[in-house]
Amino acid sequence: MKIQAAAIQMPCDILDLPTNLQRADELIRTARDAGSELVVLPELFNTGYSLCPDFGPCSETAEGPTLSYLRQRSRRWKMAIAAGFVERAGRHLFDSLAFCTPDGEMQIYRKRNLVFWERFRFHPGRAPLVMSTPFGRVGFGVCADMIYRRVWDDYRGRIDLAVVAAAWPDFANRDTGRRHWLLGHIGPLSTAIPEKVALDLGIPVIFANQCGETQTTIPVLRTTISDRFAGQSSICDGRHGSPVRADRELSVLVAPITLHSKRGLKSWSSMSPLASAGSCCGSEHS
Amino acid sequence: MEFYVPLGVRGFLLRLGTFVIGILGGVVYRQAARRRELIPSNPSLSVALAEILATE
Repeated sequence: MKIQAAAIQMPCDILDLPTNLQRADELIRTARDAGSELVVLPELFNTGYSLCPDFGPCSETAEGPTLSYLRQRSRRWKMAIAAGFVERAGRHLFDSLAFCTPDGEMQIYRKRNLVFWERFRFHPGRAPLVMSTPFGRVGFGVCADMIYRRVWDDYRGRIDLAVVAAAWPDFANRDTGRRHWLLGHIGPLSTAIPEKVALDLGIPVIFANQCGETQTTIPVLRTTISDRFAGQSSICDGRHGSPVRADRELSVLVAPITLHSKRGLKSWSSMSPLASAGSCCGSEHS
Repeated sequence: MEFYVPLGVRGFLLRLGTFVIGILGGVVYRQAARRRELIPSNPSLSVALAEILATE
């Protein structure tokens, strides 16, 4: 079966919930108008990603405004939505990814592999998440989760689709373009890894990254890179055709993905009415 | 933990750095977590924004 998927690439203002939600809403609307049935927003899309003093005031439970909004949009517009946010559970904060489906179901994946300053602000998740949906089993990752083999070994053979939300920096000076001596080679991995996973596991991978300027602070080394997010969100349709990729600017990337669900009645030959046969489009949102 | 793509010597440095930062960060995180209320309160949105987000 084919469905139309969207990766939303957006800049996110630090700790500015209203601005980020409003911006995301416009982009989700664009994705819906393009026929998307599955939309992925970046990591921490509602709070922005940075070494903040405290994410606590913007953290949310499942009843918070961000998840309430996403559930409502998902139900009304009949689209599945994945989005990164700061989750609050008791005294703990998690760098989490919520997945809402049109039937009102929602599950939350907590980022397992925290890097750089993140360990100062978040508690790590403990387990992978495989969610059964009408279009197959979905596995989740958040940003740096991608670089660890164990993450993909956990999902191998267990999922029909991978969703990755990220705030992946370039690790290069945004003015000069010069790469950082230690981390500069990690920036390009944001394009290489989703493609590799799609081929390796033979499943579609939707990768939604932030764009815009940021600063990467490396604790202990006391180094700060005036950086930017790598952008280049992508939709890789497993072993079918070439990946579709955004540039570095704000965009809504829309493309069909092919799902070979082992669970659903529809498989291989059936097609969602919204996905045009073999079509592939990347729509820039201005 | 093994990387999904080879990172060479830099991978070793990254792993070492992540380990050290993980220990330091864990200490700082636990102190901050203890200061938080056990019962969380969610942020709120203005009525105007809530209406915008509810429009079809």
